[in-house]
Amino acid sequence: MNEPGDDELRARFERLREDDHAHAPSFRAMWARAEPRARTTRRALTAALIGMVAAASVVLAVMNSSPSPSVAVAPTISDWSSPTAGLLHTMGSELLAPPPILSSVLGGAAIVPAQP
Amino acid sequence: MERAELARELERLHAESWGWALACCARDRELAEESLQTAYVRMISGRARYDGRSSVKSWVFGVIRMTAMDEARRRRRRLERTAGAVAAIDVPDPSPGAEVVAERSEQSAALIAALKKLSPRQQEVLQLVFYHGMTIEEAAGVMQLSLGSGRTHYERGKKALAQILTGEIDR
Repeated sequence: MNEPGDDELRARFERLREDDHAHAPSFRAMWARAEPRARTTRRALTAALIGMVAAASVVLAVMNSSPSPSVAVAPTISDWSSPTAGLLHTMGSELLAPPPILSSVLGGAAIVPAQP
Repeated sequence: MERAELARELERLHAESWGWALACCARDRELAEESLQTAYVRMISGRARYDGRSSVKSWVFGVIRMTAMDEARRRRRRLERTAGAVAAIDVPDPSPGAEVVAERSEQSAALIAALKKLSPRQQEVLQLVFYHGMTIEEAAGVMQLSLGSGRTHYERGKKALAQILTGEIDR
């Protein structure tokens, strides 16, 4: 027996198609049922999106209000003093101190060369 | 896509969409109606959006196919819960109802019985090409397969279907 070729297969499927289409449910009825369900779905999606944005805003606000422990200000070297600095102050230690710088003694006065 | 345009396209494709939903649901009319309805909800609500990369028909058919798989999975879980079974349960072969059987032509009934003996992929691609007039490339797009895979399923399915219809093999 010869196998059905493409044309015969197409004809068979066409008959099946006609049968199915004759008993298809009404589009208008399906559309009318789908629309309210679609509105509910859209509202649920919108509410979920708003909720996510609100949650993200709260998280960001909390993060920005409290200082980050990793951004502590490091002390400068001039602020530092040795814990044993007190041991360096002995009686008469000022005699061993280096002489003051000239400008600091003259208090910023100009040096006038001596008259010949 | 604007809502009015979407409504026009879905109405234009409704009969074809119904035929495809039936094919995706093993010709279970109740499941096909649920799946098609849910697919329309997804398209109207924007959960499924047309991006213009394929024809509108291919897009609609892709949404129907995925929705039918979801609905079938949901029904299986419901059956498992009510039956108390743990193992996967095959979706029962739907009984279309006496009046529907009488109305369906004898040849259509023979074709449906023959198609059920093929693999799901072979059934799908033959339906898309012969019933819905798609090219193999379009059919592969709907089924999310490569063109090569689509062509393989088509060739093997067509050969097997022809042999089953002539009674050469009884799979």
